[in-house]
This record gives sequence, C-alpha cells and structure tokens, in this order.
Amino acid sequence: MTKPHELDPVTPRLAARDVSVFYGDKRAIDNVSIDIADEYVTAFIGPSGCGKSTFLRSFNRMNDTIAGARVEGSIALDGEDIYKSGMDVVQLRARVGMVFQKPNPFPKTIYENVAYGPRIHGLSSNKAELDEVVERSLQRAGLWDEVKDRLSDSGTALSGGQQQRLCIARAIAVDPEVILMDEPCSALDPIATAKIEELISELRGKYAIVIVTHSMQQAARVSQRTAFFHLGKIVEYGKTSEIFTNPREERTKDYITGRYG
Amino acid sequence: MAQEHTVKAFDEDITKVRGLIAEMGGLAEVSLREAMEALVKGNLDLAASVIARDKKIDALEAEVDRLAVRTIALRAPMAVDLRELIAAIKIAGVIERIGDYAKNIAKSADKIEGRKRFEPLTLIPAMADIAAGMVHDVLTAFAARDAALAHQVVERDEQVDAFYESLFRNLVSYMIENPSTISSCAQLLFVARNIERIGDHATNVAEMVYYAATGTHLTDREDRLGA
Amino acid sequence: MNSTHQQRIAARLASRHGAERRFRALGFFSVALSALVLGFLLFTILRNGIPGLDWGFLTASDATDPAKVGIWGALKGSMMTMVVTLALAFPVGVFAAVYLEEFAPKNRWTELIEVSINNLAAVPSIIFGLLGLAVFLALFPNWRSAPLIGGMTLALMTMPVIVISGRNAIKAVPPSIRDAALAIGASPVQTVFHHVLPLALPGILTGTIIGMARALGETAPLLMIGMKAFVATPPEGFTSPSSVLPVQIFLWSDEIDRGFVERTSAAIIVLLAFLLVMNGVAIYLRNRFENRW
Repeated sequence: MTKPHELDPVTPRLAARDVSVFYGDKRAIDNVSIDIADEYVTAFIGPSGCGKSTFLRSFNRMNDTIAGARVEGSIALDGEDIYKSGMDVVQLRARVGMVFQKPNPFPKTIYENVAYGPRIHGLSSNKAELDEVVERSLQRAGLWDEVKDRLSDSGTALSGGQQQRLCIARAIAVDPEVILMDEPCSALDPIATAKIEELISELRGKYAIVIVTHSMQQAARVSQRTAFFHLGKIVEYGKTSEIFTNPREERTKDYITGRYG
Repeated sequence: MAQEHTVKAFDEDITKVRGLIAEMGGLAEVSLREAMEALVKGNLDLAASVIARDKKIDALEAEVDRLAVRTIALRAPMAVDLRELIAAIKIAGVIERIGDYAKNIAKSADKIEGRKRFEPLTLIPAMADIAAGMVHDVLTAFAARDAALAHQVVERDEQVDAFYESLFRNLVSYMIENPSTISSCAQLLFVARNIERIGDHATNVAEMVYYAATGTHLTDREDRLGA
Repeated sequence: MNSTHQQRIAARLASRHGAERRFRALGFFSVALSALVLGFLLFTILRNGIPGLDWGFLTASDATDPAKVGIWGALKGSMMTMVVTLALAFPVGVFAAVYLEEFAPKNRWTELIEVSINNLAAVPSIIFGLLGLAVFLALFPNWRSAPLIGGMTLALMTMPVIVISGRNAIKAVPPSIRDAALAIGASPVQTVFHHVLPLALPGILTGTIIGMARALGETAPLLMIGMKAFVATPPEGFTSPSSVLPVQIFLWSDEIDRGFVERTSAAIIVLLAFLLVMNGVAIYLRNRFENRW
C-alpha cells in the first residue's frame, strides 16, 4: 500500500513522519505519517475516539496545553520540525491557525476580534494598515458585506454561522500558512454549513486546509484527499473520490457504508 | 462483508431491490425457455402466455428504478452499496430487453411451417439453453456479489457466438437447398439473432455485476491481462 | 381511567399543592422575619442617631465633651485604612489567583498552598491582629495605630477572600476563550491579561466587595495594633496615629456620659453610609465590566 506521504508528488506544506501522541501512558496516535499540501483540502474521518482531533491539534502544538501530553516523531512545517527545542510556539500558532467546533469569537467588537492577532504579532504598523487587514480578512471570509456597517458590535451578537466565519476571518488575519478546522460545522444549521463549505473551497490553494469531520458527506463534498483514522492509525489515505466509491481496506468500507459497530 | 448496516432499514431497502431483480430475472429466464418450447413444438398458447408475461417484466423494471432512486436519496449509499444500486438500475433495463427478445421469439412460433422435418430447428434449443444458463448464472452472481461467477458467464458468450455462426451457415445452406422454406428459415435466423443478443446482454449484466462487486471494470482487467 | 385512579391522582395533587403553599408561606415568613429584624435595627439606629447628626459632628474629631465630638477623624482614618488594604490586598490577591489557576503546575505544593489559603479565609480576625502586633509593630513601633499598619493587617485578612473568589471567577471563564486566544498565537500571559481577566473581573470584584466590607467593619484586629487610643485630631498621613469607625463606635459606646448614646448611633449611621457607598462603587464597576460579555 502506498504510504500517505508517497501518494502525491507535490511539495508538502506539513510533513508528519512516524508521529505518536501519548496522554500519559495511553497512546492516542500510533506512528502516523502524512503529507498536507496547499493544493488539496485534506479531510480526517473516523469514528469517535480514533484520534483524528488529537492528531490535528499536534500540528499547532495545542496538545501542549494538556498536562501529560507527549509527542514523538517529527512534524515539519516548510521543512522545519515544529517540535524541536527552541521553536517559538507563539509564532507557530500564527502560521498554523485553528478554527474550533463551537464558534468562539472573543467577547470584543467584531473589529477587535479580527485585529487582535495582527496587533499582538506586530503585523501592522498603523491604524490604516490594520483597517485594511481587517477588511481583507472579513472579505476573504465572506463576512464583510454583512458586518461592514457594524464593526463595533460585539462579536458574540452574530448568528452561529456568522460567528464561525468571524473565527475564520480571525485566523486568516495573521496570514497563516495552514488552517486547521476541527469539525467547524457541527454546531451550525445546513445553510450556514453550506456557506462555510463554499468558503473552504474558495480558500483552497491559498492556505493548506485540514478538516476533521464526523460527516462523511461533508468530507466527500469539501476535500480532495481523505485519511480514515481508526484506533490511532491511518487505515487508508487516498483521493476522496476513490475512498468513497471504491475503498481498498475492509475497515474503511465498513465505516463509510454504515456497517461499523 | 457479511456485516449488516447499522441502520436496518438500509439493509431492507437493498434486499428489496435485489429481490425485484431476482424476480425479473427469473421471469425472463422462464420466458426464454417457454418461448423456445413454443417455437419447437408450435404451442401457440404457451407463446401467448410468454407475450403476456412481458408486461409484468416491464412493470418490475419501473419498480426497480423507483426503489433504487429512493434508496439513493434516503440512504446516501457509498462504495459497494452505491455501485450495487446503480448496477441494479442498469441490470433491470437489460433484463427488460431480454424479456422483449423472448417475447419476439414467442411471436415467431406461429410463423414456422412443417416442423417435423425441420432440421435446423433442433439446433436452436441447445443454443437457447446456453443463453438461458448464462442469464440464470448472472442473476445468481448478482445476488451473491460473486465476481468470479460473473467473469465465467462472460467467457461462455463465446459458445453462444459460435453457435450463432454455425446456425447461420446451416440455415443459409438449407435455404439454398429448400427454397420453399425460405420464409420459415428467415424467421429462424431472427430467432437465432435474438438468442445471440440475449447472450450479449447477459454478458453486459455480468460486467455490471463484476463492477458492483469489485469496483473495477471487467474490460479494463482483460485489457491489462491481454496487453 | 377509572374513578378510583382519578381519586388517587386528585388526592396526590391536593397534597402536593398543600406542600407548595406551606413552603411558600415558610419562605415568605423567613424573609419577613429577616426584613423585620433589619428594619427594627435601622429604625432604632436612625431614631437614636439622626438627632446627633449635624455638620459639626461630621467635621469634628473625637473629644471628651459629647457636644463637641465628631466623626471626621475616625472617618478619615477608615478611608485611609481601606485605601491601604485595597492597595495591598487587591493586586496580591488577583495575581496570586491568576498564578494558581493559570500557571502553577499541579503538584503537592500547589495543593498545599490552595488548602492553606482556603483555611486562612476562615481564620478569626483577631489572630490577624496578633500577627500585626507581633510582626508589623515589632518592625515599626513608632507607627502604632497608624492607617498603614491597620491597612496591612486587614490586607492579610482580606487577601485570601480575594484569592478564592478570584480563582472561582477565573475557573468560570470557558476554556474555549483560552483556546481561541492561544490558537491565534497569544502567549499565556497575553491570554490571561487580554482575555481571561477581563471576563473574570466581575467575579473578582464581587469577592473584593465582600472582603472590603468585612474589613471595614473589623474592630478586634485594629484594637490589637493599638487603634484604641483617644485621638483628638484626624490623621495627617498614613503613618499618623488614627482611629477607625468601628473602633470609635466601640469606644463611645463604653462612655458613661449619656450624651454619647446619640453620637454612637450617629456614628453607626455614618459607618453604614460609608459601607453603602463603597458597595455602590464596586457594584457599578462590576456592572460596567459585565456589559462587555
């Protein structure tokens, strides 16, 4: 079987090799290797507890915030190992952004939400530049027209779908290379979900996007490469169209046809 | 993959579709055999019942279409389930055509004269037997998702084609020797053609069954093996 | 449904309604009792104290003659003491709470500190007075009965309360806010000060109000550090000898001269007014921060 990182000849943005993640003694991710490229949206699917969210969080070292979490193996962003000693985690998280399952805008104004990142990273030297960054991020996130007249309203006053797009704009504002999405639509209604999915296909190519999702239909709609996780390993990785029409592994077949468990 | 779907209704839907295909196929097979008997023995009543049965086969095809589309809409099938449902729709269409050919054979039953001395008439049942066997086996292969059996059916089509060739030569030389039998022989030529077409259709069904079961096309495989 | 079934249901319903009515009556009675006691207290104080409240009373300081006595000295002393208490207890308490909740590693030592702080909050206030006497007055014997010493002693007492309520307020901030801040590349310190603290502020302020209100009314520890002397002039600075409102009230209530009765009640009114103002300011601040949520 071709390994996940041997499938495509493109230069990967993120390269994970033999990554294992432990919570104390418990091994949540078991020797996983995969490449993430700008050209393809990559989806992680799998049953609950298979480790896909844990693996996603190791890309921006959010697992560091959990006591007892330990990562072995290497994850390279543009060739540089993000777990090497001396790596500035704060900088890393500006290059690898994250959108969470439940929209979590800051309880500040819409403008402040988007401007906070660029401000603390010193990406804009004056207010005019900051205004520009905010507008551009909100436009890229498909939210500008809806909020341009009320930038000083609270971010939490928006609808769920708008809040999630605000969170995406916030992540975009620091000009990341990778955007990680952990079940971004699971708290949203179908229309908001469709808008976010459309947004993802617009962002594809500008940022390397990895999306963890429980919905196989969403993975099928939104991604070009899919990795099926089971018990901490990648059971199968390939083109999304192939995984869903003719998967090779028995476990993959069982999961996607609804014969699992 | 003997495991059942977590949502039981999904299994029920697929079982229903398969059941309809099996029923259709069974009727088509019976029609073929009875049409042959009607032709050889000149049994016009049997011929009439074959012709009447064709309507039932058509109705079943519509039923398969309806049920398969509904299942696809409601269950969002993936992989083998999806391939099987798409194959079921195509197979139903093909079986409906097989039924039409059987009907045509039955219609020829009253157009043959002077049966008792008719030599070529004895060859045709053997050819029809192989074709009917192919139909039977391909339906079994569909029900069991048996790719190997499907492949075997494809290979049997050669025999049907060979039969057709020899029957053709036989009938032509008979017609030349016995010009008075030309119209009956012409009818038999059509019947032989129909049976050869039935063999081809059964082969098509076999290829669909193979794709549903494995996800690869039989012709691809043969090209790869041949080249 | 047959009729015995219906009868049973009706009977249970009736008894349940009875229980509801009894509880409501009990609740109302409890509230009425508390209100009554409070009302009686206020009424007595106001009746006794209002005649004694005049401008002279509010601007003069302690004296031997009840006609000339005033509350200003003690009032100023209380205010200065509160300022010292707040200035010391609030930052220390808040930073301690932040450190314990956000930065401290979870091990035996931090657990021990947690338990100790929780216990400190329950220690009787007079112990803090003893501590003040033993440590602060030993270090600065010249500043006996000064607002600085009094403030430091009360700060020791108030800080655990602020730490506990601060920790609870910080714990109540949803982890999703921290995740969002960290994921955008905020450092842990930036996360705490830009995001967690602003949201925890209402809770912290509530704890501070409680702590300060308690400190305002404390008499025993301040007596121990010497704020029991007769002080005829209001304190000049934080190191001048001073009195505080509760102590002043206590001293006057001890006086034999009948004239002091009015003055004592008047002083109590002033103390209550001061308390109300302090609470009011804190609640206003808390509401201001709460609106931003």
